[in-house]
Amino acid sequence: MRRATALSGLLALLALAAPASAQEPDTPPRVTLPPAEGEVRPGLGVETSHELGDPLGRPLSGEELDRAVAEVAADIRCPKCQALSIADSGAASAQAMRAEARSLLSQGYTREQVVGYFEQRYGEFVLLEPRARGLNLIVWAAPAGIVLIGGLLVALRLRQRRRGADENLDTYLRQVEQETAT
Amino acid sequence: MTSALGQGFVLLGLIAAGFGTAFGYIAGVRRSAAGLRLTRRLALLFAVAMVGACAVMWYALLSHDFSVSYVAQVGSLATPLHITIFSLWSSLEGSILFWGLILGLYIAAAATFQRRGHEDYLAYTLATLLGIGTFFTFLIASVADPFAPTPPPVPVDGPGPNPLLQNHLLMAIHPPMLYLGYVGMSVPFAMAVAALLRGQLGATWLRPMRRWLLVPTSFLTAGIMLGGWWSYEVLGWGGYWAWDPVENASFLPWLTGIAALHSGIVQQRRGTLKAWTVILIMITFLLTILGTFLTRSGVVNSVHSFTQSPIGPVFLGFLGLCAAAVVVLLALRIDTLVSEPSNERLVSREGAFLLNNLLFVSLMFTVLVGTLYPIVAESLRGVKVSVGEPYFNRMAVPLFAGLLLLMGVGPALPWGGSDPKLVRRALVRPLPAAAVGLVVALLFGARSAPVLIVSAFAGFALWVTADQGLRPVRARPRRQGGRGPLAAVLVAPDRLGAYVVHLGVLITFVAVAVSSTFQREAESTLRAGDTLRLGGYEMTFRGAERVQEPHLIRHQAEVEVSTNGRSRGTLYPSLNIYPNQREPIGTPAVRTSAGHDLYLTLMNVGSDGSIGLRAITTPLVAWIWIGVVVMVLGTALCLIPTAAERRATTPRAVPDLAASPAGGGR
Amino acid sequence: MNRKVLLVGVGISLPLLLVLGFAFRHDPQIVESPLVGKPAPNFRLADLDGNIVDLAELRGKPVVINFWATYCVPCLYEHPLFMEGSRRWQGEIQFLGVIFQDDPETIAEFNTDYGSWGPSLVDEGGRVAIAYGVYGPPETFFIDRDGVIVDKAIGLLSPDQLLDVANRMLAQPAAATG
Repeated sequence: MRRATALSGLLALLALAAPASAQEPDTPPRVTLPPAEGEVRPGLGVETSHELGDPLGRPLSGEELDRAVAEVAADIRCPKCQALSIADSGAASAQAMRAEARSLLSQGYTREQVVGYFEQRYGEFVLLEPRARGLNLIVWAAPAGIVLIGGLLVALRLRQRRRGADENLDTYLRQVEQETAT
Repeated sequence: MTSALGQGFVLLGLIAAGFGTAFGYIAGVRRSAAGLRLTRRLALLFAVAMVGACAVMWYALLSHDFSVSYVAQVGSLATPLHITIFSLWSSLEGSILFWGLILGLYIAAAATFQRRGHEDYLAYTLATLLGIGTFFTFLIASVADPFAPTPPPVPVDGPGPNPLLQNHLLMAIHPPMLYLGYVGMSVPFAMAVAALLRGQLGATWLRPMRRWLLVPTSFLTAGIMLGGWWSYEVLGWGGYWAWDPVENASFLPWLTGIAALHSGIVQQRRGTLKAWTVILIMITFLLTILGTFLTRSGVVNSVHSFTQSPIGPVFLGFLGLCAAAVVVLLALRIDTLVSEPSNERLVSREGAFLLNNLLFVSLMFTVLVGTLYPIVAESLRGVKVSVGEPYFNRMAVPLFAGLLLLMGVGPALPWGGSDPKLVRRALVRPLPAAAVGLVVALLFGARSAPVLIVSAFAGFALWVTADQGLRPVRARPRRQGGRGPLAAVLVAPDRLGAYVVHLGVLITFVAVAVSSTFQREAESTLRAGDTLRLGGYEMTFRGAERVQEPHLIRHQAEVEVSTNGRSRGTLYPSLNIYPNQREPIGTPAVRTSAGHDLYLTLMNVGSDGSIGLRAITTPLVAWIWIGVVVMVLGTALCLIPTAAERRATTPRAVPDLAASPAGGGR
Repeated sequence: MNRKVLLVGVGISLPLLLVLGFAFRHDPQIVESPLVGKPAPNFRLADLDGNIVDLAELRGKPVVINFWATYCVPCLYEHPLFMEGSRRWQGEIQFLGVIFQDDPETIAEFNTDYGSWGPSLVDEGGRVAIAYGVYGPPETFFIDRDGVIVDKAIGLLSPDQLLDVANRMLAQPAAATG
């Protein structure tokens, strides 16, 4: 409880800190892309291997790697932007995520593993295409369902209305001919 | 003082709209000419009040009167004049006031231009429009009051409008276009309500309705295109459509609006689909309100949405009220709209129109479900999910391909379609054109099945469009002494207009398909003197400079572009940093040509003077915009009165409008 | 009265309106982290002076990790809160700042001007931020003595929340340490 009263005093401090926010950032935030092979200081970084498990594919490189990165990136939502994928976005965090995907794919992790890793970290929200399971099936089944129901209605209507032949020339053309002939 | 004046105008608008609604319905029920006159005057008064309110707000913005809360919110002394003018619609309250202005102008136009030839319906039409006006003025007067006095102390300067809205002129045109589209859908809606209340749907309803539907649909088309163009020129991701929830919201009424335009043709020619056309128009209107709700309530994640505000629940209430009114009205009155008997076959013009409507409505539902599903998932599963571009592309592309096919097959088929020989010939003749489309695509290196199918369909549709569009001109010389081709066109400009619109759609369609399939990109960190290569382009980074401007700091890179050693000029992609903005906002540099665009974005600037540069080449992007311009021109043609209509409005001629009812196609 | 139209109309519009109504119950900006209740991803990072911090070595002590940057306004508002917090719980709770997409030199300048409340760790390539699924600064992760993420705050952290979670983490018996 003593802490509570002490901390509530912080609110006053918060107000004091406000002028700091007026500082203009005049250099753009710099993106620090992962250093090239061999430059990494030994032992630094984050452990991801035990969460990802063993790589299930083979290490990719060159154009094949580029394609795989592009495919994965197109399906991952850029966390900072709104509807853009990390493939489209130029935001710093999107660039970092592309670099991470590249690094994992080059180590032999499969596309599914890489997508799964992002999902595990950021939640399902990061997938631009919802996984087709459970409630999500609504969104996958709806378009086909609508076309089917609509198609059925159209078929019923056509059946109702098919009665005898009715010859109809393009009356408009007849009208044009009449108009232009005078 | 300014506040009070503005609020006065809004109050005047509210009173005019409220009484106008009541008098209009009474006049409609009693078929009273005097009542209609009064309603028309109140409609004009409403328009005047809205113009006045907006004029006051513009005056307050331009004179930097920070005692008006909206000015304190979006105004700033440093903002350039033209941006101050546009800031009327840059934020929530102002945009709703602007909405009121456009509604006022539409109401005045409807009251003026529909005086003759629509008398049966006009009182109900105006009453419904003024009912919508009542809601919007109520909104402006209460929860979204832009004129509220700023609580003291009145600031000496304001923050200025959102920086994203400041850096391109397109932002000045895109929102008004979109609003003209959105708000304009109220007019056909009001006419549909009038038709249901009257229990009849004749030619004096159908022709004005189609015109009033065509205008906002065209504005919506232009608005959506300008939004995509803005996104392309400003946001720096190299694309123009991200299936963002708010983009989708503008897309929904567009889809049903176009479906209604097409079903209206069937109604005009065959006297069928009356109830269906009315339903489509009503859905279109409800979707504009839904779209406005999504944009303004802040319930969806979107670049465009305004911040969460008390307007959300009020708008939802209005949407609910409208939906309830529509459903009840339809249930009570729809049986009064009796279609004329006719037979329909699948393989006929009517059949093609039915399938067209099926595809448009399916597309609308698909986009609607995809847009709203995240809310469902969060409510029922408690998990946030995204439904984004990959999903929408996967679902929409087949439906669009179907529409493309119909655009070729439909106009080729004869009405009725009962003669198999005629049908077969109509479908076989354009096949060489389809083959040409296929070969062209193969020559350009297309190998994927979807692109090849789209190319063949496009070739087919292009042939049919040209054939049908030019038919009146070609039909002319068959008779001796016929008038010139212009006269032939002027008999029914809407027919040529329709095929011009189709041509525009084809151009845009092909451009979208090609640009999204053949986009190439490269990305690299460059030091001064380094070169990035992509698709024959050599881009040499010459250096970056930091420019201090009044309201932003710009980091600008100089990139020399050449192909095969020949200089193609210099591009200056930049990163803009606005005070109080978290991420720098990139402004891409685009080199546009007929064949393709080169698109450069600056990703970052290092403290050592190096830059991250991203280059994208996209073929045919410019044709997307060109196609839309063609569509709008085609719409303009459609608005020219036909020979029959011109005769009808000149007093001497026999009024043949009444003589050719909706089913006058035989 | 056309029953069919009434049923279809109500059947489509009512669920739609309900869905839209439900939307108000959620803030579209906040995404629940799937990591709460899971072991915190381990990392070894260097601070601005090159001292290495290894999360695994801090096991047994509650840890507060704040992802921040100088261009982020709420982060600056949080600064005095963490200053006070690190003083108050010195030796009891370890406060760590991870730099989110910002220049280490800018951070160093900021720390000189306004003081620092813990090591400012340099996250090369933003990989730690990705491992923690950070959407944007500021985000704060609370890690208990066992190395499990017990809570996460998105956006401006309130003094009440810090106090509440800190007390919860401190109340956990130290003996449970593995």
